[in-house]
Amino acid sequence: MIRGLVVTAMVALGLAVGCSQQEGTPASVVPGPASPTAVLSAPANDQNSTPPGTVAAAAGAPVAPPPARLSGFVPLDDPTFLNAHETEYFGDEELVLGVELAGEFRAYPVRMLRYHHIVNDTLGGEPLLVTY
Amino acid sequence: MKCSSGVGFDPTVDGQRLTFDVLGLLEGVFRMRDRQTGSIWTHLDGKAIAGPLEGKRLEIVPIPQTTWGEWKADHSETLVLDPDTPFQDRYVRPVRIGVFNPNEAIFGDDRLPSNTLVVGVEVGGVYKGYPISELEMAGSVVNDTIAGQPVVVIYDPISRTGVAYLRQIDGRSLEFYNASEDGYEIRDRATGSRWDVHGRTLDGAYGEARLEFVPSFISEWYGWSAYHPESQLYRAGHARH
Repeated sequence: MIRGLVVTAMVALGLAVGCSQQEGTPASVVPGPASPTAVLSAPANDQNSTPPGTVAAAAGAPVAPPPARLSGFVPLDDPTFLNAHETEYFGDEELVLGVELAGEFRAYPVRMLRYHHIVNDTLGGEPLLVTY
Repeated sequence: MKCSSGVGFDPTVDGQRLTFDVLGLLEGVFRMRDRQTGSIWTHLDGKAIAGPLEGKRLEIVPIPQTTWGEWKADHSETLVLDPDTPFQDRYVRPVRIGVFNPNEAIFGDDRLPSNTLVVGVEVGGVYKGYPISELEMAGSVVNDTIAGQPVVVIYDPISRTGVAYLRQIDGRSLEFYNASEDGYEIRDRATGSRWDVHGRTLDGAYGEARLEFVPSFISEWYGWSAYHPESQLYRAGHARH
């Protein structure tokens, strides 16, 4: 209880430092749904996923614990990917995290991870949590 | 600034797949919370420190840092995160890691400057940091022993990959060296075989055998030492050989 209060207070005061300090403005002002629960849900272009606490709640389905609207950091859930030859967005010198799992290869560019901090992903049927 | 630590985990605990949010900061370090149980987890080592899963730990899986150019050259079939998300304007560049930022936290371990990049390694409950500058002084490869286990720590300055493996195959310890005067060409002394940063031989001298990954990733010193104040610290202390 005390720990929870400490976290809430620190975040409310904008005292995010160290490994989690956010650059730029908080996620709460990004374009998109204004509801606090939706802020932590999947990107709006991912129509197939179930944003926590929104669709499930509306459908009357069992509801998971409410998403932590504490930090303003927005994880990527089940993100979409491109083939390497489909994009020139990323420069050759850019840092990525590279993973090989179940015969699949994926790259997670650091400049995206530094915004999201967490990617909840699945590779070749295997769950993978990427953090930065 | 972040502490520049990319860590991969298997988010499965007792058969249940967990998904995570960033909880925020607690006692100086970044915590996560899983949506299934509400338990609170540390970032760099994936330990549940509060909630129903307290005491559990996520398995760290290899997801080493590299450059996009090197990665796609090695793995032409790779996929890459699609940057077309509602947050694209936040993907600011360039990202330079290990650079001092006067706005960031300074943690207490003054054995190294806060932003020094280290390869943090964990073996048998023992933590040890290898400054990248020291790894380069040692020729990009260090044969070490941690908690009684033979370990090799490498840093490839081209791909900017820092990672550690158990340096043994079939119970036999290997010793590695950099055969290049000014580049990166890691070979083992017993056979002279060349190895890549993923722990595989490039010429098949050991067949399909692969070095076993040990939890290891690049971090800025302040983050690593905040999580692991007891961390040992590697010093090259002598010239490469």
